[in-house]
Amino acid sequence: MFSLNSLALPLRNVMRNRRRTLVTLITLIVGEIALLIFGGYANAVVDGMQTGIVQQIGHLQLQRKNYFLLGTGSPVDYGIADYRQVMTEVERDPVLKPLVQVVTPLLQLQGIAGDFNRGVSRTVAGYGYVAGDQNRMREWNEYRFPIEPKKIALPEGQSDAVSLGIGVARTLRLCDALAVPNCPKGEPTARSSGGAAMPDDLGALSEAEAAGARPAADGKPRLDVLAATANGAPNVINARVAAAESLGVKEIDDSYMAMPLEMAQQLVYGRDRPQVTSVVLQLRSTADIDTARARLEALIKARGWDLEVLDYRTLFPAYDQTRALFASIFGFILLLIGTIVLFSVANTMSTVVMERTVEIGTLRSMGVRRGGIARQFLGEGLIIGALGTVLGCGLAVLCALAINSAGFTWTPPNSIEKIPLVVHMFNTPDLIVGSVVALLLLAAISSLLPAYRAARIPVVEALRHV
Amino acid sequence: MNRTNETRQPPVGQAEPRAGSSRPAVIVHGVHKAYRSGTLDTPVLRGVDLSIETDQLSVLSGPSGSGKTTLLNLIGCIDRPDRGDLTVLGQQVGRLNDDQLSDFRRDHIGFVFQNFNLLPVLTAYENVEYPLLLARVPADERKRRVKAALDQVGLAAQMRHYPAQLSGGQRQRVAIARAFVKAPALILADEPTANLDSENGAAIVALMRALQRQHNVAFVISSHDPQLKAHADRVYPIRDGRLLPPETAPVRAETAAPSLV
Repeated sequence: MFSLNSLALPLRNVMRNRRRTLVTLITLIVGEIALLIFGGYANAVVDGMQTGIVQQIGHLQLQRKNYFLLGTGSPVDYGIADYRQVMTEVERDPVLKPLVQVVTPLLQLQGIAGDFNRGVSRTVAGYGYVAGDQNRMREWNEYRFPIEPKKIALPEGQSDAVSLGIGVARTLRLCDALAVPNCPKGEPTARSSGGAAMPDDLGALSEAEAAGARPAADGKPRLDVLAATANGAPNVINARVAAAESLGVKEIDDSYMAMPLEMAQQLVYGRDRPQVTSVVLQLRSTADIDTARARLEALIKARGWDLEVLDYRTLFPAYDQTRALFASIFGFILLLIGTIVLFSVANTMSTVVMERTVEIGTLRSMGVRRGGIARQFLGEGLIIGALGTVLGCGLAVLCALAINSAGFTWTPPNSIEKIPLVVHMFNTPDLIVGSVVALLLLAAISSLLPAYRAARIPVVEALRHV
Repeated sequence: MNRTNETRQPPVGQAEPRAGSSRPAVIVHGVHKAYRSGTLDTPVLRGVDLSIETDQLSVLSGPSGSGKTTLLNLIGCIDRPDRGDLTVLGQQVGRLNDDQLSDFRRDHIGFVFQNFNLLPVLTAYENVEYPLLLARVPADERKRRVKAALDQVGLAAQMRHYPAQLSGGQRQRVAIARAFVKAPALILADEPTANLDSENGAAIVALMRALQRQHNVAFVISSHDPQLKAHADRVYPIRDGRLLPPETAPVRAETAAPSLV
């Protein structure tokens, strides 16, 4: 009923000077909150980035070897001819089947889009998609961001329709027809009033492929898309522009054109066997990426396919660069907070040792060894550290819940779309466990020197201390 | 409590059995001690020879600065002499390292201080219990001995009180109970009545004397309190770091005290 236990004495000592303990605790609490909120925010940014990337390019892509490094401008040379067989095997594989959410082909091409009769054109990065698959991919939201899945602008089941990035639409002077935002008024719109004439051969080619640049029956404008075929000859397709959309990054919006896979294949391969440049796999969870990759590599080896597996981090290097940037900022903040915590706890413990010098002498005279004295003060430092980090964690969680429910949005760098401002603390235990362990370690380290000094005070000097 | 994981040292600190022993509790031979301040050495003890019998209450008596507290500290193994030999309870303490000295104090020596030196965050009960925790006495035994000790010093009703809730005399009683509760062979008290009024001082002197007699413990007190000298079996006057011939003090009527352990 009255007996002391091993925690009672250090706990009571910690609460002895409540004001001083409180000040030290506040330092730890504020530090812990700052670390967790910033870390959670950085996690959210990185998770958001991953979500955007995976929605668009999947987790893994099967490509012909070296296509990523050498072949993006040569879809003819690096095409996957038997892509349907590859997709079928992936979809039926017992290991991959439960992991994979979407398997879809992709054909990337470089081309020129324009209304050659009106004298407007620009180079585009074309993507031949299966629109339904793309829409399923855009539903991927593993980190539960408070956003509605945004469907791809390319309509499903319309073989002659394309969609543009809003930057392309602006350049091609399709602002009014496609309701493109932020279009400056009064800019020159076309060469029709007296600019240089279009070369006869291209104009003739365009007219041969389609009925001309007149609007479609639904009022949507039409475009000519020019690309090089397998034999190097230019190929033109006249397409209806269904819509313009923002991909979130201006550089992409300024070159993006989506089209049905069949249209892209016709453009690049003409009457030859249709191919794709990638088979895209979107997994249910990013955590399965290593398993899926290993299985794909085994399949490639077993079937003798001339393919390689690339993950979204390789395909989109900015992801790891962003992670590294946030990691370095987090490290810097940790260093600052750690230094403050270190000196705060060390100062508190040094004062405690000074104030309790006579008590140290008393304990030593009763038979407490030097190690016992050191452990007692180290324990008190750890208790302060534990209290501060636990309370800091609790308050940080409350702050995170408040931020996540406040509905704040922000526009990230290199982006033109607002995204929800949220804090991700719980996706992995690394952040909470790491910050708690770091601050606890710092509290322990801060207490080491005062504890060592306490243990080394000669008993007689300690008892004589005034 | 603080020694939970410590390994006990070999039994170099084991004291000789005291009951019926003919050996003195403390033998001090040729002990010198000086305190250094900068480059200046201030000698405090200048070749002290002393033998303190077991089962006696001995008083080291002298004015401030005479060296009595320093001698008490050496006997209590909380300080080391510069020169000379010191044998406490049959153990040559000069051979013990710091941990062994700590264990020796824990197992064989009790202390009573002028300023009581109770741990302010612990209740009276917990203060008395603390030495038993250090000695790893089982919980049931601890409880029995702590209650008996507090009962013996007349503070059973205040066992839940913190030191700040006790008077000076009560605090010193708790300190005495703390020193006696582990049944040490040697108890040392440094000016135990100096911070008490005469009435409380007299009560404390009587209590210490009674407990000393009851437990046949060697009790060494440094003091210039005449009341204490009057209760002592032996008085060792010290002047300028040198021991003068001992006095044998008249012993008053014994004070009864209930059994402690």
